[in-house]
Amino acid sequence: MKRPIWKRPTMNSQSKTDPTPALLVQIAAAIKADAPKVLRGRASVVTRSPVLRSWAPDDLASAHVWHSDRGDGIDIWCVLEAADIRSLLPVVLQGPAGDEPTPLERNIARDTVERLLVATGRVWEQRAASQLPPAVGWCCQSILSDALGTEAALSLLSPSSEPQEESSTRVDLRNIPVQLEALTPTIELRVDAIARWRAGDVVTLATCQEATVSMRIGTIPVANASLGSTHGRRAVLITGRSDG
Amino acid sequence: MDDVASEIDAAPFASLGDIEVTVAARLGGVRMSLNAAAELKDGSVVALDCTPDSPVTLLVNGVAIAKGELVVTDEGELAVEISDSRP
Repeated sequence: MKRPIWKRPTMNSQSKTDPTPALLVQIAAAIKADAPKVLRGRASVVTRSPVLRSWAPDDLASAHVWHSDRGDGIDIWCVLEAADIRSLLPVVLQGPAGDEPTPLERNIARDTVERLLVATGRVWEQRAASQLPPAVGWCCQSILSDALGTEAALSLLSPSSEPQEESSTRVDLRNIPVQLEALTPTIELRVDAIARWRAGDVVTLATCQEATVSMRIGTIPVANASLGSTHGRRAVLITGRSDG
Repeated sequence: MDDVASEIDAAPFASLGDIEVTVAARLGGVRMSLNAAAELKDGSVVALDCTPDSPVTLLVNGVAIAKGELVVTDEGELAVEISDSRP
């Protein structure tokens, strides 16, 4: 018997319709190919697969930012974040750099990236970090690392309308109310024993030492607890999560 | 729970008396956000929607069947003294 198959959307299936990830990989490959010449063999370059992420200019203050647009509808930004400026300097200068790069050192980092970007065959314009639009989109990183393991990431970003729609339709469940119930340990009894219950009967549930309270949402156990009181109300003290 | 009778009617179950069911007592509950529930951790104190003396509800296979008072027996066991039951 043949069962119908519905394809689940994946990053791969998205990338078939969205050319952006492949384009970013192509640009990163050009950077990697030219890196030995630009960096004079001082660093190796690894390209990370494009991932969807969000970014905001506020997070990128002090970053070096470049923009490239060929009019093909794919807006590409290249970002060297402040921390990566610091880590790129020792790679380029073959020596330690200070905690806060001087203007000269920032220029060295900028020139290095601009020489790497030449290999992409695109026109890049340096922009203020504040001009980078906050967005969700594709990010492809080229990781430059030297023999000592110092790493600097050069990020290629491209806002994507497709994931933005996905993000805006994502439901925020954090404030959904749920009813948390505190239950004693469960025992098993025969129906005929329960049928004989009368007012005044005492039903033993557990020894006090074993009386772990189960905190549940519906039928799902979420935590174990011990019974007590606080501020004139019955209360429980959580002693462990049930979901690991 | 609704108004309750003083006894559980056993007659309809005479032939099913051997069946075992689960019994537990509901001590109380509290409404909170999913986020707050997710953030519960060791040492968190959760106040329930009742006083320490409030009756508890006896559940049979998850269904409320009786009410009672939470007690500790002379043998040191946690128990419920049934105050009301309903068919």
